[in-house]
Amino acid sequence: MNNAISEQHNVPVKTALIIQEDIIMRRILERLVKASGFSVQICSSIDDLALHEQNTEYDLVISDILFDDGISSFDFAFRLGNEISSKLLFIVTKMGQEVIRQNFLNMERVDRFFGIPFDLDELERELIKLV
Amino acid sequence: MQEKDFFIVIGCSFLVLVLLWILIASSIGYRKYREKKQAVIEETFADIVSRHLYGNASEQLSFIEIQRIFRKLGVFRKNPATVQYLINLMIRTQRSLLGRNYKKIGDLYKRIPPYRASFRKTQHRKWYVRAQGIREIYEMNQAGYTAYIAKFRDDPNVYIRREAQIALVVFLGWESLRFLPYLSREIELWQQIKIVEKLHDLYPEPQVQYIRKCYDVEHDFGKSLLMRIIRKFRLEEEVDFIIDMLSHESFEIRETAIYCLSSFQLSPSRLETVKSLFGELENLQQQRQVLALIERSSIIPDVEFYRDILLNNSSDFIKLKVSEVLWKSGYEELVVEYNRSLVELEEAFSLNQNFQEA
Amino acid sequence: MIESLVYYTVTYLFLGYGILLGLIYFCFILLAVRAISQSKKRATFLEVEDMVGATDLPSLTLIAAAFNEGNTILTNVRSLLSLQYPYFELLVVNDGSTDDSMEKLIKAFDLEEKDASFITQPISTATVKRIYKSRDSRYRNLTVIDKSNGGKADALNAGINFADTELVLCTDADCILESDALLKLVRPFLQENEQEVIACGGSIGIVNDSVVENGVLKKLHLPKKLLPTNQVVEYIRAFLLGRMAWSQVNGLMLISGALGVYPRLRLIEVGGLDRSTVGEDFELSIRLRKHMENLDLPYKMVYIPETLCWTECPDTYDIFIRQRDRWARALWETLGLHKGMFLNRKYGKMGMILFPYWCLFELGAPVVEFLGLTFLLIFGVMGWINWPAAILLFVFVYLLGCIFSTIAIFIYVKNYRHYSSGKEIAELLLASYLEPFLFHPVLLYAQIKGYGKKVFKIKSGWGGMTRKGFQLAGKRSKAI
Repeated sequence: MNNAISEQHNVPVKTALIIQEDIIMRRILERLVKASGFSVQICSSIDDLALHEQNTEYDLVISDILFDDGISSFDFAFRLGNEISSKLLFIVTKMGQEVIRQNFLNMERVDRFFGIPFDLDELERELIKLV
Repeated sequence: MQEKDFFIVIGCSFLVLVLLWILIASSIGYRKYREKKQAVIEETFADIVSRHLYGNASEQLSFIEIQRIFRKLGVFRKNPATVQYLINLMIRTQRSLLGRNYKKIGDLYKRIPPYRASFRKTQHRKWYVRAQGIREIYEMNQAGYTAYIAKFRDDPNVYIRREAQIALVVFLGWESLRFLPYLSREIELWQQIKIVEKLHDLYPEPQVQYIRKCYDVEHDFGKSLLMRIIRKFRLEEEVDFIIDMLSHESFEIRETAIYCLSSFQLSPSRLETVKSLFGELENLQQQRQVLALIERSSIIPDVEFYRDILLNNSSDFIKLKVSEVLWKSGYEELVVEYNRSLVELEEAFSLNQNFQEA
Repeated sequence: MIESLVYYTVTYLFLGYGILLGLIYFCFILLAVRAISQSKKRATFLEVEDMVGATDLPSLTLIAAAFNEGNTILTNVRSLLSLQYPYFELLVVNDGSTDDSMEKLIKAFDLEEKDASFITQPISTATVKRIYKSRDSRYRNLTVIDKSNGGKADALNAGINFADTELVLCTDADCILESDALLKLVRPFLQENEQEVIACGGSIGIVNDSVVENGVLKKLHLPKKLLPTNQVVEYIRAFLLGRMAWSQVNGLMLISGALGVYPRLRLIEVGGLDRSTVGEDFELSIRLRKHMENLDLPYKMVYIPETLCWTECPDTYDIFIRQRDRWARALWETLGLHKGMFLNRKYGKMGMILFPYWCLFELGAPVVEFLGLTFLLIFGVMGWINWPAAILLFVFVYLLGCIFSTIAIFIYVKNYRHYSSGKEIAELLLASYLEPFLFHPVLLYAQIKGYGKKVFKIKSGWGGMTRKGFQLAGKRSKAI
């Protein structure tokens, strides 16, 4: 595991990657995840990540599934699970209907699914459990 | 027409053309400038909102500082387009959040520039400005205007009344359903979807008494809305209302009833009621959909019910669906037997015809 | 004396026709501007960002007919699967391809054959051989129908038979759809009130020489050649002005076959698309309207003034002529099939205004133009023409045409971001100003050729167009 080390306390800090096209949601998630004790990498799409950032192993990836890249949302989540190494994958997306949610959770690559609008406190509770 | 007149007309046409070129050039230039400005506003807004929700103490900005920042970016009353853009960002953010942060964002919005602009819009002469004003009021949770907005709930303009009705749901919750029987104008599908969503997001605990009071509503759109609410909140005890709608005279109401029922696993007694109503459906597509519904809800297939359809229904379309259900349920021999009897009947008919011709 | 009578009668007839057509185009501009403005305002109350998370949206099947698309079928299908809509099924109908399209699909999407014994066919089609679904959960909403060749209309009918959703969208497998196309096309159905929406279409754009990656348009460029650029201008005028104007007065008579959403039940009621005509999309639109008139139910056909679908257009004159020849024959056939509607009060506005308009000004315009050129030649040879006045009149009419095209381009640029650089707009304008000399005569020739085939009963089919494919982007991301 490639951990970032906190200078002050010499304690491994968990790493998170946030992939969200919407800048407002991206910033909110960034601050929330940082406030929960993670070191955070953000981007608006996979293409924006540098190669070394794609090769990093993350403790958590929080991603949307709606991108304008010609790949279906299911395919995206499947490949995300394959191509970017992470312990956990959370989905945060506007397309959060119950049937979509169930289909993604049944894929077994997705650990939690949040459909917008959602209560950020729920996400915060999950993050605190991880830390 | 003299040649001189032609020259004048040609000259004027050329001038119009030049004017259009200038308009095109200025349109592109202005758009590029506006997009750059909007990108900066969006980024600043994202930073401010995220700090307000999850910034630490040292990162928090006072409301005066926030107002100054926006003023520097050109967000002030004399610049309505920029104000509107900021309002749209605020609405977009508010719509993404629930719970504690929904309220926290609402507190932020009360203090930053466009707060009073929305009320002024509701008095504008243009319909889309009035509708926009109402939407902004409920999206930014300005509940003090509830009584004022209520008078728009039956407005002749569909967009104004839609936003007003959604506003009432946002502010009054389940109690807003008491207006339903008194509405005289159509609630189209999108409006029904928004009403149900707002109820579900903001008032997740159902208050069934308000639904039951509306069961006598005369309008089809009212019945449709009630069915969607029952479906969304999974109100098992109210499913009988939806089942009753299967025998409604309107095709769309029956369609909505079938769609809503598909979300429920029907009890045996309700299944019997649905089967008894099956024969009353005239539309073959809807009959097929109801058969699919019965198949999904049945633990053990009702072979007598299906046999009856196979033998007595006049539509091959329906018989094919029944055959599929029986086949998939392990009753292939019934289907084969029926098919054999059909072949025998056909042969007998053909023989009879040949005999008569001879 | 007689010569004078003939000369002035013919001249004033053509002048009258020209003035009437000019007035109609002017009305189109006014109506289209109003329609686009209203459409944009209405869209702010039903944004796609809001729709994408909504429940109770109508279910939709996207039917894509494919014939010998082996080179691009996988990219196209993946691109269609990526469309953002929560309740949609993709139905690819392989219309008897002789290449390896089916093998590629089966392998790439892990397809397995499904039992088709109980599939009903309300509309008769060529034999459906097999139906496939994917074993892979990623492609749970993909179905492939393998059938005998029957033509595009037949393939779409097979898809309509199999679909089990409220709405169907008919498109070509090689079209590129915008990711939010389905959401935008479904919008009018969500706002339906007294008038039932029986069809909804969107604008189609031209993607020649643009950059496409994973079946998604990454960078739109104007075509390099003049002929496709002329078609870009033509599409802008036709879709943005013409169709939006008609949509504003509920007078739309044509939803393009590349992008049309219909209620499935209505399609079944009218018997699907007509296999016997080459203009099946136009014919379907008329038949749907006729059906609703016969039922005496209020209805409308709606147009979305946004480019939601991108496709290649012919970039050589040979292929262009074949295409326009076919469109002319389609127009002739369809109007002929429904000639009973002409000035028939039973069909209301459609019979008394819309159908006659199509006969006189859409079908009739190339004929009038051809006759006009013929008479110009004859009168010129006879020495009857006042050449200075004629030249000035020509210049005036030419400038009027330039103004119409410039207005169309201005409206497009003002409302949409597709062509935003000064260079591209200058190229568009230049192409439109050269159109009467280099594009329009070829178009006229193709149309007259098509009509000639119908008059002299010369058999002709679809013709072929070899797709060049698109410029692929150089860089691909590592992960996806």
